[in-house]
Amino acid sequence: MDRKLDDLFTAARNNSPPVSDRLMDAVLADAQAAMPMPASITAAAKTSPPSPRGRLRDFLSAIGGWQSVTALTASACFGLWIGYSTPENAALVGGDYAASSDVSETDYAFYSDLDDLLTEG
Amino acid sequence: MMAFDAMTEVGDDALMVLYSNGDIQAAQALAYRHTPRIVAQANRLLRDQAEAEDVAQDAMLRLWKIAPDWRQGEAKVSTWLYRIVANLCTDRLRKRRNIGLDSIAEPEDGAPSVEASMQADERLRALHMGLAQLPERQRIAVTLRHIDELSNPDIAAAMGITVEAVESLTARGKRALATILNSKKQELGLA
Repeated sequence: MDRKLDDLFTAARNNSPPVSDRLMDAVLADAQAAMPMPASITAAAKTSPPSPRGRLRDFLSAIGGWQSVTALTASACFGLWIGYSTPENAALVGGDYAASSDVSETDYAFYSDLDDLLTEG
Repeated sequence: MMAFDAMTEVGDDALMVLYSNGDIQAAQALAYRHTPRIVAQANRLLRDQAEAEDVAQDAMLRLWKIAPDWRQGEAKVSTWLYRIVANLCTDRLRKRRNIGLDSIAEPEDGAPSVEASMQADERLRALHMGLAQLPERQRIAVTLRHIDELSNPDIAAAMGITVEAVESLTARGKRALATILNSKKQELGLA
């Protein structure tokens, strides 16, 4: 009887009907719907949004820290001072020496002497 | 993301991790690997293809949901699924009352000629009728051991009992089944 029973078990094992496409579609749809969020995204989502203080720290870090900010501020103030101060010698810097109203005859005399020195070696 | 063909060589634990990380092809590999087996298991216990498919879908859904918390190396996916299916089938069987021969569905007919396989079908029908008459735990243990061919440790894990208890259940179940079928052996050609 045991062998006959084993034959029956084998027949039952081989009698399994194929899985329907409907079932496989449903199983895969469930898998898609229940799919956990990827770990990296989950971790990112779980972190709190950056605070303004954190953003300021990031910005300072990006431009080189507090020292850079100090230097930048000093440069800005100096540039502002240059902009507001009277441009008395601006023409001189530009090379328009003759146009300057402060040029006197004495100055011309000085240049004349210099010319003599250069000529005579 | 890995190609689906490459997934066939990947172990279940690794597929669970891949699925948890958003790889749908890992889910496909798991589904194609396990769904046919659990449908067959459920069908053998319930003798109803539609109900068996419902149970299989439910069991696979539970697998998808537990994937992020799956502990590698602690349990085999196949054994875990067998356990879920056995429990789901047990719940459904408890809701049924007075299972008689007429309520047992006819076996699926895969042969071209019904006439030629009539006696074989009748034997299978008798087998399932005999299994249905066994106490619940014996029926599950005998089905898992002799039809699904699980090892005793796997059955023990699936049923949450000891290996010794599995041996006892399968031995008593098989003896009881033989007694039931003995009474019909003449008509079934088992003599």
